[in-house]
Amino acid sequence: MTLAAACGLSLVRSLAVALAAWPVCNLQVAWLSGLERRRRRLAWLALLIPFLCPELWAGYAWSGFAVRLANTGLWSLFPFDFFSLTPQAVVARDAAVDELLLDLLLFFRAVPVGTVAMYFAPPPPISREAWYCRKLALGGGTICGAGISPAEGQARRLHRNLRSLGAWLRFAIYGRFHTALPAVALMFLVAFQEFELASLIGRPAWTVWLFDAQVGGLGIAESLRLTTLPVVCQSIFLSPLLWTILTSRSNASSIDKHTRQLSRRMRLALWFAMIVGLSVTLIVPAMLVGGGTVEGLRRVMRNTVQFRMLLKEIFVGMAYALTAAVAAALIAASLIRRARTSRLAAAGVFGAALPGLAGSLVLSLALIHLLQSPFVRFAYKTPLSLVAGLILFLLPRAMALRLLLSSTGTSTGLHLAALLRESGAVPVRDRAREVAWQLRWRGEFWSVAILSYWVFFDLTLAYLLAPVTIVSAPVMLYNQMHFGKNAVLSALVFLTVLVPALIFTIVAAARRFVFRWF
Amino acid sequence: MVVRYDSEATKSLGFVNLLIQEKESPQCDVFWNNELLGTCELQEQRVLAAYKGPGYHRIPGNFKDPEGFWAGFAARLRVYIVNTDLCPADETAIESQVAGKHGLTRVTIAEPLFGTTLTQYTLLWHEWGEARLRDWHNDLRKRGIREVKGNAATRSLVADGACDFGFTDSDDYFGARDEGKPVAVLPVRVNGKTICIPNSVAIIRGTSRIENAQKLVDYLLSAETELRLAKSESRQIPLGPVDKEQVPEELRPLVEWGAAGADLRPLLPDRQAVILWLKSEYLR
Repeated sequence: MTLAAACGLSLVRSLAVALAAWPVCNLQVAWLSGLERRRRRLAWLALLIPFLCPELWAGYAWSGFAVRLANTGLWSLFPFDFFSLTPQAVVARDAAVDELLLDLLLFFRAVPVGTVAMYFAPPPPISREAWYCRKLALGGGTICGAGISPAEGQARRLHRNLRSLGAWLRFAIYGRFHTALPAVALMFLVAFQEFELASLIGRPAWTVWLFDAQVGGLGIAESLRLTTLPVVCQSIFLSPLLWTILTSRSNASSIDKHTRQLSRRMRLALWFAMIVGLSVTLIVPAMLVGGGTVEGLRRVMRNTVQFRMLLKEIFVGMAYALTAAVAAALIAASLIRRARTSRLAAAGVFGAALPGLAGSLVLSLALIHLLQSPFVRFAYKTPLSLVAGLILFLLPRAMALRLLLSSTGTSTGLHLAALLRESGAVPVRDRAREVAWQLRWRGEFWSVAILSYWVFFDLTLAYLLAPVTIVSAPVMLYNQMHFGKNAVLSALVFLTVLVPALIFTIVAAARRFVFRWF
Repeated sequence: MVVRYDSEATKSLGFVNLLIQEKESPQCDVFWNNELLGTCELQEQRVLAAYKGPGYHRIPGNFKDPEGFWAGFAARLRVYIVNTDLCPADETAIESQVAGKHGLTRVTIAEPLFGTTLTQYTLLWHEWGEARLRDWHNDLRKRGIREVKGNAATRSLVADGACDFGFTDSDDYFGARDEGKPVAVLPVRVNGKTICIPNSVAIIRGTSRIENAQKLVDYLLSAETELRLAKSESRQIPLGPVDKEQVPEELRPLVEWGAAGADLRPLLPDRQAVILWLKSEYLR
């Protein structure tokens, strides 16, 4: 398979996943908004788990799925020897099964990202009322009258239709699709940049192709040349979107958000989808890989040296991930703020996003190459090189999340919260802080958490750029997978996922104490 | 001592490429590789320094560089892992199945672009010639052999009964055996010779800690290290003279097979040609 073909396949797969996930995200947002607070938290947790589970783990558990399925005798149940095929046809059938599995896993990884994006997105600049007014305005009228020939009437009608289509597109982009487009773009990115799942399940993707192409050594210039195509693919998809959002101004009130009521059947369907998502990303891999998680935990705990080392790896990895996530979020905020007023700065946004769009492999190789030059050699294999790589990798993602958070829609609420904070009554001030958290900081906090998680589990950057003294958690997990130590592996995965999640949850819960200092 | 481990995940662009990139400002002192050809490549790229210590002298001649740029120790064998519940562990039967005309949808192999499968292909290229290897490879694919990403996946498919047998390394076989899976091991032979892939160790040219590097190399090439690796979970085959009583019983047949191993040193020129061909097959 050529790079172009692999890239094309990734493109089609990612678009299909993003577009299929979009309506589901839409429904999830409406459903989550309608839930009572405690149940909403539970639902968020269940929804986010498929994204938080390391791809390495799910990929490892599902690898060889089609071959194993063929061994169960399932296909022989079909009548007329329908599946008694030639060896090549058997391989093709199993490849199709693996492709479906990969698509499903990507779908469940994309849905939480899309749902978060849509849930926290500001209301569109064009409200539902404006849509209705437009409909009324275009509702009637025929082109006829004295002095207008049929041909002229037809030309005018065509002209009106074209204007109407253009207006509809404008209304759609700034209205109905305004929150959906960034979400679709983010989900597209998640699917398009996938490496571990595609590699472990054995399906072609541009990331896998590029990784394989490194065998025997591939010059950095050649690697970068080869990456042009996937970067262009992503840029083409993201540029109009970025432009749309950068040039938009949101004035609509927040009452336009999440007001849709869902039927009981729809709510059940969403619960069902969530359970399927949890099953394919967590429960089934846990059953396949981690039959002995408890035993593995016992073994890890008993080996105090290993346990201490693991905790150290997790905390050090999280420290790097968090530093990079905060830095990327700040840089993205600054760049986007400037881009709203300057075309040059808008071009800078694209420039800053490009290295991250190239993927972690090429980005790491390019940095290694760069850090071999005399003036910057001091930074090679230091925390600096790793953090730089992580920030560059995160920048396009941070920008996408920033765009979602940076728009207005909450300014009135924030102003009111600021006024309330001047109150003499302590409970009112506490309430005001909580309102400020809900409106302003909650989104920022969880976007940093998502960015941290995103980069915490990236294998290639950690491996190629980390200082020699650091063996990051994903590298360690991958090595465990190679040796097939299932019980210990499962325990390590459990701890690696749980510890960072606990840290973020504790910090979020501790916000009230922190806010008192401000 | 700071140890930097390579990863299964990054094997293709792992240490060999990294050490070549770092040639002008070396970060490492000693390179311990679990295969041979990558080390030979480093020697060709002038990344290594020669050293002939006491450890070097106890290793047989066909497992070390005559000029002392590297030495091999503690080897793995390229083997067939056989699921004994599904298929008898009979070398002749398995070889005739591979060479026969029937479908191979219940046989598995790792993609030959990487690791020890690449070494196997390189030896086949060297022994059979390009045309025969191409025919053999195309025939396996045509007959539906299950190509997976690595030896670990091969081991799992056979151990879990999804495939009858597969090509893998002896350490993977022992991993499955220790898990209580119904597996047996048979050597892969090319023109009667087995494929015995040693660890290799070398000193990086330009290291500032040469004395410590030499001490480490001597330790790794010692009988003590070879025996420790023989008793480890990966059961690696000692190459130099060791106390045979201390070699685990289950490893002893492999020690015999390993003694019939092909000389891998002349394979380096073929390796580049094989990679080029495989890239044209898989990454056209």
